[in-house]
Amino acid sequence: MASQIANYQCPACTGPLRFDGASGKLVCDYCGSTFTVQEIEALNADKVEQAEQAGVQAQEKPQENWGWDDAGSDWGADGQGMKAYNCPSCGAELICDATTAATSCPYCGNPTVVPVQFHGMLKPDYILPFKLNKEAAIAALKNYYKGKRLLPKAFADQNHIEEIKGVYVPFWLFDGQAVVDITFNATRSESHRRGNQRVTITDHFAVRRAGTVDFAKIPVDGASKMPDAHMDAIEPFDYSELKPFSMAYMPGFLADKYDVDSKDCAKRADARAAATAENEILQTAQGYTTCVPVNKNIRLRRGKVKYALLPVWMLSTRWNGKSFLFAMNGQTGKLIGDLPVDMGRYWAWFAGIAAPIAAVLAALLFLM
Amino acid sequence: MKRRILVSLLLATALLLSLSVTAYAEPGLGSVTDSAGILSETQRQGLGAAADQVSQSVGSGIYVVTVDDYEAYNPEGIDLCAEGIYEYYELGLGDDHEGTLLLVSVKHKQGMAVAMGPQTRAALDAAALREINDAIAPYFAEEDWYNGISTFFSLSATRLNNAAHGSQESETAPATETPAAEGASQGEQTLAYVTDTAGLLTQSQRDELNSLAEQVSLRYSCGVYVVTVDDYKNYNPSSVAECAEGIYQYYQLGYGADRDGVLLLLSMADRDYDIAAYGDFGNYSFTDYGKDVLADTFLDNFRSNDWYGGFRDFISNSADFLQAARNGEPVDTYGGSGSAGMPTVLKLVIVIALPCVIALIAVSSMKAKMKTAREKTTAEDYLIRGSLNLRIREDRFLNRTQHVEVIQESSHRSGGGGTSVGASGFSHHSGKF
Repeated sequence: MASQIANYQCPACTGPLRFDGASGKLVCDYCGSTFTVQEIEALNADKVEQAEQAGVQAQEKPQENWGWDDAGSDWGADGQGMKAYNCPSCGAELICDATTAATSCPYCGNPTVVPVQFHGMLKPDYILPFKLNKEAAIAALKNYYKGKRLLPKAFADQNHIEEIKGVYVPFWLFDGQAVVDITFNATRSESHRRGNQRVTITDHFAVRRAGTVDFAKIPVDGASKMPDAHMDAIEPFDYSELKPFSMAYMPGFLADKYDVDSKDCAKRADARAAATAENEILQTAQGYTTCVPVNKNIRLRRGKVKYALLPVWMLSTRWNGKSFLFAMNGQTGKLIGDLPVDMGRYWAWFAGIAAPIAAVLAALLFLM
Repeated sequence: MKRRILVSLLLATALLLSLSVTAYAEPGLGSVTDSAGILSETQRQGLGAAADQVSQSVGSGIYVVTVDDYEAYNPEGIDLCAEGIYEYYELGLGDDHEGTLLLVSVKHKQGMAVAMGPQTRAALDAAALREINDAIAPYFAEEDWYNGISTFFSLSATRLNNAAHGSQESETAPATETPAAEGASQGEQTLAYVTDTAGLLTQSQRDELNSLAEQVSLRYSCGVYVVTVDDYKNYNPSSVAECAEGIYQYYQLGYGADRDGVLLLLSMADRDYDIAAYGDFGNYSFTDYGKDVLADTFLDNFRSNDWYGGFRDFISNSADFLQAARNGEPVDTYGGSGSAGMPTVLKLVIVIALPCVIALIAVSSMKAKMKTAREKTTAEDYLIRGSLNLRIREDRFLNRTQHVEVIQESSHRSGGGGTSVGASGFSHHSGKF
């Protein structure tokens, strides 16, 4: 029985290959050889195909070939949503989430890919290769601490990166068109003085705007384990560097297949598109003093939906028994995440700002 | 007489020894000689300036001397002590040494005014002096030295002014200064302090308010007037403020050379009012901000048709404003001397709340930088530029509305307090009640 997972080995020394974002090539850390994605795709096509077929067959006969029961353990409910694979390099058993599409063997360290996770309808349309490496992510996190006046001093010194992983996160990219029809109550006012009176003349208008606004590739992450706030905040990605999907970009990184389908994700894309369309339409009602929407009708015509894997560095740290999660756009380097607030520093800054102002005001009001 | 001279010499010697004031380096006293040290420098200078001004105006000197204990100089009586000082220092104006002196003895909590010179004694006869001494006695009994002395100034100046005005009028053309003891006059026309042509007050209310306004006017040498009319437009002015100016000028209202005063005019037809201040001291006392505050004290009464209460508030609060101005701190807006007009509670609120708000905004901004993981609600980055295709673009005119708002005079101030005085010499605060 062929293995359901494939690893990418160096054609020169059979060492593990990893994708290097900076060069855009696959690199062998053992012999230093580099290969283009196309070269590795061609060399490993058969192996990947076999692994994919093995995975398909296993899915058709789950009780016989894969699944937690086959792993020979009784983890009960904890085993739900897990899968077991055998590392093709060292034969070790890999226990993964059911959605895991790329990982690395914890025993031999070889990057591995599960081709069946991208089989058929599950195959992504695009992949956006990593451009920034782990060192860049660590440096970005340290830089992120700078200028944060309320950050506990001990946080930056004492906390350490507990885990850092480059993940190809599954995203749905929605094209669409917003059909907008909005009626506004608008006013245009002019004031002038007449004697000791201020006369304000206000013209009232009924303003209507109806039209369409087009959107392309609004991203919504399809991985339930990824926090939406983190995934939204690292936007935008530069889609001009999207590549047709190839598993050859994945060695060295983790990847999941989506577990939230496009239908569920579409609601978030629709809401974002509707809000932006309304703003765009409002911009066309110029020259008014006030413009208040009184009747709104916004419909979304959905266009193409594409499935893409986008690069994200996930960094987690631990401090004072609490975990802090950061995400960095693996293409642009934009890093976000919530930091702890030192309330002592908070009130010290509050007092430090308020006290001098109060002193000046007191001097002005009471002494002069 | 010999005894009086001896007493005077004794007194003068004692005074020269005890008063270590540079002014006494050579014989002669200033208008205000505070050897007891009961007045502040500001008060002393203010009273001195006022005394000099009145003295020049009426041709009769006005003097104040304070001592710890008059018996140290003349145990036979405070009146004799006062006369002894006056004669030794040859006080008074002109050959007849016309003048009035108030001697204040701190130990006895007593003050005594004496009049010297024939014309002054004619203006301030025994009855008048008794009236003045009776008026100032309660202040000194409560050790309210400044207001006691101020009252002496006001009352004696009024009577001297009346006397001087009467004699001038018979000799020369009518003076522009119009004392307002019983109201002002222009030719045959006179106007009481409270003139209620709109018939809002009862006779007793009118008399009471008139008396109160007269007392305030005399005390501060600044006329405080109330006039009500049915409709100011009957007098053909373009505004209620112009009407107030017309009344003030026609009846030659005001007090002293500058005709200082403040007039509250109510026009009942459209419920208009105007506060008009005139003269240097009048405009100094009633700043733009001060008139705002003053209006607030009576508008609530007028809005409920409590005319008597409103007028009483106007007059009594005007007295407070005049007192504040006399103390050198007129009721004014924030900053400089004007911060005196701001309630202490408001100052405290500003001193505490404003810094807290600013600090809260600053630290909130810092805190916001600590939380950057947020879901997005819009999709500007994915909008296809130029894709907006407007199918309907309608801008339909519905109607036009007009809103008219009366501009308060104070709203034209450029800030920083003070009084906006027009070319006519008046400052105003107008509005509706």
